[in-house]
Amino acid sequence: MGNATPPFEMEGLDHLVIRCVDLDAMTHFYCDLLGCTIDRHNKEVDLLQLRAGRQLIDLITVDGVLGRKGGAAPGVEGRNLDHFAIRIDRFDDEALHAYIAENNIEIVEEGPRYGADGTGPSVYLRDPEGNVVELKGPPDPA
Amino acid sequence: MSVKAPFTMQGLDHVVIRCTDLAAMKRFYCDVLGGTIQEEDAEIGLYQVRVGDHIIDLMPVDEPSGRKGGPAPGKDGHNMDHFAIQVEPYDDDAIREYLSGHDVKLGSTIIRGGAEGEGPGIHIKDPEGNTVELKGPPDPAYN
Repeated sequence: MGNATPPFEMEGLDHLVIRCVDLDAMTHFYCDLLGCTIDRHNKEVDLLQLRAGRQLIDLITVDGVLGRKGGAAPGVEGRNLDHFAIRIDRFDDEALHAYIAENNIEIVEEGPRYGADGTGPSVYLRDPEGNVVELKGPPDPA
Repeated sequence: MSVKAPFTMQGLDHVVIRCTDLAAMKRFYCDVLGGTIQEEDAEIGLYQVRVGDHIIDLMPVDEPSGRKGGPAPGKDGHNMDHFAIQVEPYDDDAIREYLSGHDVKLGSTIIRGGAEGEGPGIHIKDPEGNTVELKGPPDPAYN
């Protein structure tokens, strides 16, 4: 058994890396529809880093330098990441639904959910490759 | 289509990992890495571990929520290659020594861009083969 306590403290998430097949479709979804911006594109290792507020969502293609190391493309089931959540600054239910419908994005489920800073409204969307992305609004005092 | 989204993204909130051995995963994320259990909902099968500002949710594949996603993830073919947790302070030697003492599988230290700039990060494996990067603060030498 090693030391009882770690020589560091965890401050929070920094980024997550999604393995994907169609980089253009994924970039369109995360940037054009959800509002990410391209932070950097490391072409040496085929890593596209998208800024999502204070953190990053990284995309690697399964046939790229990094992606190849992880084997086949993810299947429809048996995924290691069930979903991930992005905190959004405001949750205008009507505007959000209009926007989602207009852009033909699939809603998986919705409702009040518990998040890192309390319970608030959430809508779960499916990205072009089947990953579920939760858009989480501010905590609701109600 | 598109027009402008009626919201602005502020950052990540949580990631939800499908797992098989909940006890081993809790030991790793809490006892070894220092997370704390925030909330446990056995009815839906969701166990929330607080890591600083955010949450890592553990979702056993044989409980109600986890079952919806089919079988347990395999060794590869993951949809999430890895995720990174910001740690402070970042002392590569001390981290390696500490984690070795807990039989954690250690990978290489890689200098790559994180959310706050270029800095070192050590890649490790959780008990179920997910890659977790412990990311240090940006290093002025690389920025």
